[in-house]
Amino acid sequence: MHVIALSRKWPDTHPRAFLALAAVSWVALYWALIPASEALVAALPVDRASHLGGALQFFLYDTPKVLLLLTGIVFVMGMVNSAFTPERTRVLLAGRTEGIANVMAASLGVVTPFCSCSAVPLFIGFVQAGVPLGVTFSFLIAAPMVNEVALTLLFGLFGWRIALLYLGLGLSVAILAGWIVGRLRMEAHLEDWVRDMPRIVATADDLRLTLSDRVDAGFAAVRDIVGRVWPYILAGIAIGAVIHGYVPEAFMASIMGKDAWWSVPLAVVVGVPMYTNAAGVIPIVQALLAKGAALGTVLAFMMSVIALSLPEMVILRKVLKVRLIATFVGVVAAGILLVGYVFNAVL
Amino acid sequence: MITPPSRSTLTQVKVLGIGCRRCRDTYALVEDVARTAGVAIALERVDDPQQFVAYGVMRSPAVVIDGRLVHAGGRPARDKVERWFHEGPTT
Repeated sequence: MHVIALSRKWPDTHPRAFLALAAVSWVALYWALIPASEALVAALPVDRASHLGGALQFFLYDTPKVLLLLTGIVFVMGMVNSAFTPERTRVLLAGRTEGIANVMAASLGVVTPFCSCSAVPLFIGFVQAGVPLGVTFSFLIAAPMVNEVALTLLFGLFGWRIALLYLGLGLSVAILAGWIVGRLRMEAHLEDWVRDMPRIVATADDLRLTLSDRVDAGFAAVRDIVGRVWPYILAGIAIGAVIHGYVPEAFMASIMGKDAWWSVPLAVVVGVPMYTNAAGVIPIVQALLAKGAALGTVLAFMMSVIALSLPEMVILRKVLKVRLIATFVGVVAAGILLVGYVFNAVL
Repeated sequence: MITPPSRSTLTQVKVLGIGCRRCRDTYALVEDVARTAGVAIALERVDDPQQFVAYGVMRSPAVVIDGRLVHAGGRPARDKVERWFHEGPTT
């Protein structure tokens, strides 16, 4: 207990020194990673050219890399995010008119920490403070779909181009879909008690965060997020490794390739009921891409898995009537389809 | 030493959350800490969204002790939960 108390204490008392040391150790570890994992694979009594060798190499190389990247980025984002509480986001969005507010809501969705279990209280809180319905949806679509976990995995496994592309497309889908839901004037399809709630004036406490508060927030984010998603990452990378090692080259081209027009809608239909998160699905998606699947199809699959989940619909049913949920799903799915087709056509 | 509260002062603890993993974890954590501390509590799981409105909570899971909101958003750290039961619900 004393050791833990001590080790928690010095980053708090010397946050600058801690951050500098942490950054240096992180970079050193990251540099040492590639030679270390190559040496490890070479030391294994497995032929590297064999199916098993290929699978093992993928697993042993990508797992530590992704976990290290994730820990670093989640820590930094935890420090940044500590300034963006849902309460403050609500103050920023309350009373704005649609349009620019949809853009703001989607962007704030990226940086505001969000768990899909908070979807309902957050939704109610927004509506109560007079945030327009479409703007609320822009936030609710962006928050789970575009987050640091998804972007880190994309960056680690695909590179920064695809990560940026996903960020841009995810935001566009959230902004447009929210705007359309707003245009449809569906306030009548909120559950009656939600519609009749007394309006409140949104306020938020003025946060005065010291650097050591932020370091604490970084630790908390790592504990919470990395502690929760690492099994998904391991499982995802393991499945990806099997695909890498055993599925024949170009096998996916026939079912998820560019030429199959039906592959994009199929990817969305298959993706919605799948309940996993970005951490689990992205390594699988990377392996599919390597086996000839088209990028647009793969992006559509990924977005539908992450953005539209059946359990979340069930939870939202507590505040929305079926018609509004159906509209929400329909509009978002249409946006994702568009992303898939545009990419397959352009690239 | 913790003196177990008498029946009339049984601490009412509500964990507000809608069927998520973190909410279940929080419930189990509160239960465990209270038992370890020897504090008798009446623990309740709340998934009625109207209750969130009543307490003005925008994040889940949230914890309400004797009608006072003490925590919102994410699974609370164990030492935070311990403080609720050692010093009473003051944090």
